[in-house]
Amino acid sequence: MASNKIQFRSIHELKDPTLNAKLAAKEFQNEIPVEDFLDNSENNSGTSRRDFLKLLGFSTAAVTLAACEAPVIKTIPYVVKPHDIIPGIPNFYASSYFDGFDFASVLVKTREGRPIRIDANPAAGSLGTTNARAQASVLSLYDNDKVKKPALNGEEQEDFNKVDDFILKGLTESQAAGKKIVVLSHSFPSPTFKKLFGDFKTKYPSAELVTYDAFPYAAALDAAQEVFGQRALPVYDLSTSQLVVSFNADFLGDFNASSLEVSYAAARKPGENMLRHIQVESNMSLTGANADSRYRLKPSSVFKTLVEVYNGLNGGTSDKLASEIVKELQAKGSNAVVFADGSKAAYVLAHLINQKLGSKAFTGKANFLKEYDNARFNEFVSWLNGGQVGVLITNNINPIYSHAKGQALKSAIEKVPYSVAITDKKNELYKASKAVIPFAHWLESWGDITPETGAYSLMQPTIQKIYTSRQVEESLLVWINGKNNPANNYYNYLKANALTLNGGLSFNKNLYNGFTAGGLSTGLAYSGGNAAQAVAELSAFKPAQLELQLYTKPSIGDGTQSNNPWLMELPDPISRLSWDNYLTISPKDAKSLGLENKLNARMQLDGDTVNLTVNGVTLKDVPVFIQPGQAEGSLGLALGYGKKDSGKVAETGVNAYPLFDGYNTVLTNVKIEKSGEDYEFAGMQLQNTLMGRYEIAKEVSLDDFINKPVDEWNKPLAMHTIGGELPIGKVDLWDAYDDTDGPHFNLSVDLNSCTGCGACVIACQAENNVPVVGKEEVRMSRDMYWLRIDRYYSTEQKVEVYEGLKEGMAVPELYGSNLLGIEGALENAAENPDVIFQPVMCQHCNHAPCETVCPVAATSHGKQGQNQMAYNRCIGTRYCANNCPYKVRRFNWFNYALNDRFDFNMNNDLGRMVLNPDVVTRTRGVMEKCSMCIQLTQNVILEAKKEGRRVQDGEFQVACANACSTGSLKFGDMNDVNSEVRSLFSSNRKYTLLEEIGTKPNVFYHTKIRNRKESLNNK
Amino acid sequence: MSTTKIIYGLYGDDDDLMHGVKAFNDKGIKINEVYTPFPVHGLDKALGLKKTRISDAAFIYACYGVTIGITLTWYIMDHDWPQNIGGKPAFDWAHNMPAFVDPMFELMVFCSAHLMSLTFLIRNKMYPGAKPQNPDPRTTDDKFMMEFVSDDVETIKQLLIDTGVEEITVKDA
Amino acid sequence: MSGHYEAPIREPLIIGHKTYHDITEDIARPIEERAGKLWWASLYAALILFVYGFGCIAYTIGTGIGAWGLNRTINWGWDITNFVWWVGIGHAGTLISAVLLLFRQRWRMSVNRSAEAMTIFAVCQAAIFPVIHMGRVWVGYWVFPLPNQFGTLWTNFNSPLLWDVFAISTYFSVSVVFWFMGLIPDFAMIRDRAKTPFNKKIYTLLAFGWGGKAKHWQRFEELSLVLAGLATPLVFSVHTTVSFDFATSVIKGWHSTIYPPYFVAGAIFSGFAMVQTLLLVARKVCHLEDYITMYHIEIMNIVIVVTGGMVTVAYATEYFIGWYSGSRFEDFTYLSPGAAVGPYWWAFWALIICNLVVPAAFWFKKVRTNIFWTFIIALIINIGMWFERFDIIVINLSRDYLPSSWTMFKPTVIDVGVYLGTIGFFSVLFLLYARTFPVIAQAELKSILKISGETYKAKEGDEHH
Repeated sequence: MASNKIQFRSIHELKDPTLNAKLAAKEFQNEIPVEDFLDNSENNSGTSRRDFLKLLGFSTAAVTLAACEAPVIKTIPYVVKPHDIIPGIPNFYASSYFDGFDFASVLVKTREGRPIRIDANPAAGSLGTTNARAQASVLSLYDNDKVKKPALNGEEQEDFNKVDDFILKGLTESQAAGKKIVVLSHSFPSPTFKKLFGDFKTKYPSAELVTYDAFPYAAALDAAQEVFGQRALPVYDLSTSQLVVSFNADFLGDFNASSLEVSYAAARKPGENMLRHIQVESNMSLTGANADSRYRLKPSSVFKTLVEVYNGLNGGTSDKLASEIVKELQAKGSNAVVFADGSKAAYVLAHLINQKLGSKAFTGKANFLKEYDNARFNEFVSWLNGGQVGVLITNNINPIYSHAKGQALKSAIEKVPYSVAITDKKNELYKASKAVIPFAHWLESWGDITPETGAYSLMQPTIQKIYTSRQVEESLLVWINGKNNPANNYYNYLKANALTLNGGLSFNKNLYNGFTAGGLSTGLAYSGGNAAQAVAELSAFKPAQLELQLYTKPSIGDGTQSNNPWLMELPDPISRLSWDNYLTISPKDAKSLGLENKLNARMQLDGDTVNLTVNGVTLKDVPVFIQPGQAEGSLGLALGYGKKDSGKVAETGVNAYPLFDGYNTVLTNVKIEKSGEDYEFAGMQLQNTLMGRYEIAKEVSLDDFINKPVDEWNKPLAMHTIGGELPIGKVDLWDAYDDTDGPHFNLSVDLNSCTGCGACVIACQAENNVPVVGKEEVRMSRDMYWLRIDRYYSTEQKVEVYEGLKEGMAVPELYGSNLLGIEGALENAAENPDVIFQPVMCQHCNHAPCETVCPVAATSHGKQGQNQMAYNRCIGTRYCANNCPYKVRRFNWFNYALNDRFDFNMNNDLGRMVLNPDVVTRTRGVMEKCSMCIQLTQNVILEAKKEGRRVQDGEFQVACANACSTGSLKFGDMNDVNSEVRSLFSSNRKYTLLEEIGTKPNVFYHTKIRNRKESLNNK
Repeated sequence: MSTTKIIYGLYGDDDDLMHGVKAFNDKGIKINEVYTPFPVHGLDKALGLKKTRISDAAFIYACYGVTIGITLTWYIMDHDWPQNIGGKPAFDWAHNMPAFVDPMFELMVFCSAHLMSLTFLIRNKMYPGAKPQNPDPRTTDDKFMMEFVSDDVETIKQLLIDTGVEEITVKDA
Repeated sequence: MSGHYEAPIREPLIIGHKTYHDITEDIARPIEERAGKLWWASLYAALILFVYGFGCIAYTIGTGIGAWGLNRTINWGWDITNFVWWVGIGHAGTLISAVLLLFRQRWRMSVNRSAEAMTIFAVCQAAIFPVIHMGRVWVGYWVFPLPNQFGTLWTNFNSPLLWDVFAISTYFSVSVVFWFMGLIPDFAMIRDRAKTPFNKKIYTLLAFGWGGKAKHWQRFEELSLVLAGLATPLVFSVHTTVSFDFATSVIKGWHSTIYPPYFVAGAIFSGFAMVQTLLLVARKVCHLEDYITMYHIEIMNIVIVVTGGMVTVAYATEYFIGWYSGSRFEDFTYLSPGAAVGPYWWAFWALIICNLVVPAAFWFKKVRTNIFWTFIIALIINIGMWFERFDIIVINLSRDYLPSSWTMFKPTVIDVGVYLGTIGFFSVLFLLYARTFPVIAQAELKSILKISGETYKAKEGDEHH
């Protein structure tokens, strides 16, 4: 029991508990008569010279001791300590991550009142999962480039007083003049906001709410309008599906405004009914990389194929690929689902196909996150140009940057007499507007969101507003009720309204859960859709020599958070390049156009640049990246980069929005001409193939997995010993250490359910204070990631090295050689490669090579299985990193904190507020690496100890496993007989990385399964 | 006053010197000391010097070094703070020993070499800046000098001359 | 003369009819004469390099190891390459004086003093790199097992790097002692000739009051013998230990059992090459042609060609075993087809040509006994041995187990600067040594004058007719 432990400070005290009391008594032999020495009465002062000296001695000593205290650099005292905040103990608050583009119901981890990490909210299911952007959004709160003060006519204000006067004046004026009062906001699916705007409109009848989104899902919404008679995206659930066919739809990314990865991963459990995934696409998307069968077609041909498939299902088709797909679709019937992206017609057809199939994946629920309406916005533009807009209130958007006609809008906005920008950056809109109200980050705001049918999620502030900022709702209240009105309290307003929406839950309970059933009940049902027209449109689509498809990256998305260094440095899961967007082109086209990517002497990429012209709009010097798997005749370019005036980081890359005219992601009439050479890319991984080392990232076809014995596709390595053949795990030079008492941690990585999204990478970065090093250092191959996601392409033919050698292939023929000008069979990716993702972190080897070689024993093995790193002891010989076969150790080449060379979040007071106080920031010259989040596991153990109980399975957490929404990463205690990780360990798909070296890792992997007919071994 | 004198005989060639030494040995006259510019082969035997024990000392120092090596590795790796380093056995010194051979050997050589050299200097009463022990600077160039302490100056002089000495100096003791 | 009989057919080691006094004169001349223009010029050149190099070191320590061209995969580059290269060079000296003393090779006496000096100066350079390559130099002393205020914090005796600390420091200090003990009688000689009071003072200080008493000579010879006995295994142990840095690791291309003998052979190979390079210069500058004769040069060339042969065999073995293992990882080790045609082909072929092809010329007596060619080839070998270490470290690391972490290494200006700096430092030390130290062990030399001096050999010749 925890209760009857004896606490003692020294062995002597244990022997004699009264010792301390005795010592205390003896501390001052006879007390010093300070009083009668200090009182002024001259006569009969009992103070002797001795007492004086004693006092003198004491005071001297006291002063000396006082001088020994460490200097206090900065302290922010609690005037009154909040009862629920205990220093050192994290608090978790349920809230909603919503920044206009993404939504997630989340838990916010705060320390001493600072949000430091975003966690998934398990209560919210698939709506509670966090992607990289959600994980990173906590850093956007501490963005040092954000607007810190309100401004009026270009001069900064200390408070909102003058600004409000200005706006109220404007409101009344334009109301009188009958001019429009426009609130221009990103999609804002908040019922309470809507209600509030209603009140605003009753006060100012000429008020209009217009939605503007940088990446508006216009086609999808229009299609929904046509098919479901409602401007809402359908919600899908793949968990019971057995076949998904996607036409350019990046449904693991930003397609449909919400990733389907949770149900996707659930449906891809290896077995008879494993979900089969066919992707027909142009760019190599994250989704395409996960496909079982991927077909490369340029956008126009993708449309054609879609049409053919539709025809195939209604009558017949001559197209080969289409008829194959049709066959499979018909075989699976209602267990199949089809997604399409690229144009309204494509969406319509996909919906109609699903309707025909009676696809179960269509839940009938509606997704309300996107509200853009092109007609409505055009109407607004006409008001603007017609000078009918008296007051323009923009909420957290920057059309000047993100709209194709941005510059035109700019001049129009400047003409508006009363323009207010609620913005977080000193961007073009800031400059174009008369008044500025700093935007309150979602972590500083109250609010509610109805993401989809029957779902209601609250947003609560987890930190006092850092600067003089104000969320739009508060502003509206002020402008409705006038200044300093007690009614100007959005919390009360929200509370009142929430109770009508959260299904009878108390508000506090609702806040506690964050997420609850309720909200809007309207769903979607098929109610129309003009197939003939859609078919006609798609068939009429004119193919071109080159077709450009714009896309959004998992890291940057539409660019809302593009000033976030974590996201900017996060390597693209496919190209593995960070700090850039670029024009992706197929190897064939690159050759014919004479465009090159070469490796330099440090094995980093140098690329050509081109001038890209689309419909007369030209982007200068766009770097070209040759992307295996890119369809011939197609190009890809990511949106959201190249923001000016929004911080140094956001300026990275080229702004593709000028091409995004009419919100068509697919663009023909594309011209490119080479404009320059040697553009410096910063890559994380430049060797793209496995070089015949297939056992590093194992994969097997579903047939083989089901029908063939394990030894044929996942043979455990064995060693011939004097005692016969033994599995390598059993062969050991030394007696093993006893690790059976207390926990022994293992981490399981399932390559089958890892989609490569990168959420774990950011989560690790946030939890462990991993520094951002910047483009130049990444280009020196000096990234600091503790956890990376390796990406390997398959080659044209699968050659086992020793077979190849046996068949008389020479080494150059296998691996290639620049010297001899030979292309190796294993060297380059196939034109349409299979892709496999492999998260690699410290493997925490029980026989760690790194530990043995450290001269000062700075890294040694923990009883719980961690390979531990004592930063303070490290002298930086880097021998450990050399001797690590997995190359997961990262060296601090410079000081990354408080160093102007690395002017990112760690170089300013605000940015450093995101640092996790449980993890030290490392200084120059020490080695660092994954610690298996020891600060978290130890915390769990201590909690359990305090409560005198065993740790339950699932209590132990690591940041990466927490962030993994597909359940690819699982962490737990191997000594707990019924822990999940232990059962995973005994799976027949399990293998350990580089087993033959005998490092005995505590991290193990699961073979990837490809659901496709032909066996992979002779692919 | 005593009649004891110090006689120096300066030879020009090592072979003459050796003859001289033999001659004096036959006469049974004790040669106090011989100064040569280089180790003359067989001189120590001729003078009947005992074999030096400096190498024995070296051996003892070597053992001392090994002992230090063993104690150090045992105390640090297995006793004071045993750690699990790469799964290598820190249970007892014997299991772990192979990894320690190298430092132990180096410590042996280190102690042996340095302490022996120190002994050499001490026994020879040599230290930085000590005053030259040879009475005549030429003995480090090409001359060989015998030193006698005796009152029978004449016989010694005679014998020196017979054995082809180049120069004779007589000093009061 | 029975005392000094030697077979008359042996050619003399000291030519030009010397007497004991001539030897004294010849050895003392460079020290007592004024230095020539050439010497000053080269000293200034060396000093410039030296200062530049230490500027680069200061910069590295000031900003961080990032100043070098290293990356997450290749964590050692020129730093350890140069370290191993210098240590290798620092092998000939002690080997010559110790091993050859045990084998009673009299020819060593003309060259051992300078060879040892070279050893010590080279080891000084070598020692710089492990120190400055540390990320936190200021806590570098933690590699010593010191009782400390941190509690029970000790070193890790499993680490080859710690073995290095012991090996290198022992090797350095023992070499210094061995060298200095040998110098004492020669210092005494200089002292007794010294004219100026300043020189007198200095050399009196250095000579420890040596007087050449019979007993002292007896002890002296015993001491040199035992020290030689200790130094011999030490020499072999040092480069063995250095090779452990690689051999005990798990990185393919490093993890190789033949490393210890192969490294030692390589070290002697490069060591002798460097001795040749330096002595051929010193011989000219200090007019020591009579002591460092063609016989010396040739015999050292023979040592070079023999050790070079060993190295060749080692390379062949590595290459063969790499292929024979059938392990796909071995296809990219520094001696493999992958390396020969891969991105580092130039480094690979530099190694083969400089270490295998060119030194083979020494099989021909014509080349062996030609001073010019000896000098050129010795230089080439030094370059080749540098490439050997570069290949072992960089090529092996650059093509790692997981293809995802493959990178390549390119040095920065700082890398180059540090290297040049050590060359400058080395030259400074050697030049100063050549002007102030007796560059030949004259006391020892005198003791063999009658055995292999030209005059006496001639006499012997007559008697035998």
